Amino acid sequence: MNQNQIYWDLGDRVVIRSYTLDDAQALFDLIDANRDHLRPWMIWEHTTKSVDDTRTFIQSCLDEPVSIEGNGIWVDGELAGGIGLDIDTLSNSGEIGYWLAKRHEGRGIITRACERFFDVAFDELGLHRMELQAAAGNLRSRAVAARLGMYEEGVARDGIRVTDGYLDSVEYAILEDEWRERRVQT
Amino acid sequence: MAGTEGADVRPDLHIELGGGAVLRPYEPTDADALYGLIDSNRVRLARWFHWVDDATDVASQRAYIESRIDDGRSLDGNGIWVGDDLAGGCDLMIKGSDDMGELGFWLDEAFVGRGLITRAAQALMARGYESEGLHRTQLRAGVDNLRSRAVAKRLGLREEGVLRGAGKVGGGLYVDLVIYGQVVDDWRKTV
Repeated sequence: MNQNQIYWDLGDRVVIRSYTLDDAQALFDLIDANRDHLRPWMIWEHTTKSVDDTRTFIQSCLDEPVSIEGNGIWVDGELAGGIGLDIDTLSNSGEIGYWLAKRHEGRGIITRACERFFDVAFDELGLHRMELQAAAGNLRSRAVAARLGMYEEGVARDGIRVTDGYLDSVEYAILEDEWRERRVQT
Repeated sequence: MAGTEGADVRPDLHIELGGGAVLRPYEPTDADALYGLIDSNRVRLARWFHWVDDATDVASQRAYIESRIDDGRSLDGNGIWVGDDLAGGCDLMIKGSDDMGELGFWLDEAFVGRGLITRAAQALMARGYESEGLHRTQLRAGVDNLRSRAVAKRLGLREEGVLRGAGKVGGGLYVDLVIYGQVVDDWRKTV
């Protein structure tokens, strides 16, 4: 296992682990079953046309030397969504991105997964700042950012491209000392 | 890699900026001039740019130039020349997945105040919108980097927020960055 591959048990039967090529079919099937749910926000929905596309994506994550991209979220042993941490070594910061199948929404799974990623980012990887971009209309994603204690820093107009056009991107971030302070409080 | 191959990747990126100034991609033979100019501006540049710490010798700049030449689409790795003298650099880094270009630039102290960066950035933005299908241009500038912020205003970019501690600069310090943006529809109204 490369050092940027992960296998984390979050409790309550939720596991995050890096994709392997063996996950390509399950990943494609889950995206295919959630197209209407994903299309408004995820540019990769319409570029994911076959299992070959998910296999190519997983391989690109396996080839990634630093970032912790390409991880599945498993609930009760079934794939439920995905999460990835893109690391920018030049600014010593990270950006989290995620998605969840519709039927798993509303249980705090993404928030818990992000919390683990932020702990690792600040404690183990020594990053200075974590970022999250959410489309202005993606209220569920923005609620995650708020629950994580992230600050809204601005709005990049038309900063996100999706299948049907461009969406304003709300820029959220939390700094290392803010995360530690929040953790003491909670 | 031969010294002439850089020009083959983007043969038409050779933009006259007026007053004898030209914007063109670096070639490996420019490594000496590039390192020399960064080194003589090191203290000024380190306030705003992390990459100054990576400019340790001529070889580091040759490696940088060759890495840019390998990258076909991005409009980055360009120098501004006034006559035979390198005056600075101006780039538009393209993030294709969002049809977005991000400006970056720097200038030798002796060439500050002539409008070179504004003209070079305007040329790259026009290229980005018209030839590369970009939808948005953005620029992140240190909150205290007033010259950069003045360029953003002259380019017609709008202030969209402040990214706290998002810029790592020389010496391992972090600075807040103002994010500026422009969408192509706004740009069309200005040209």
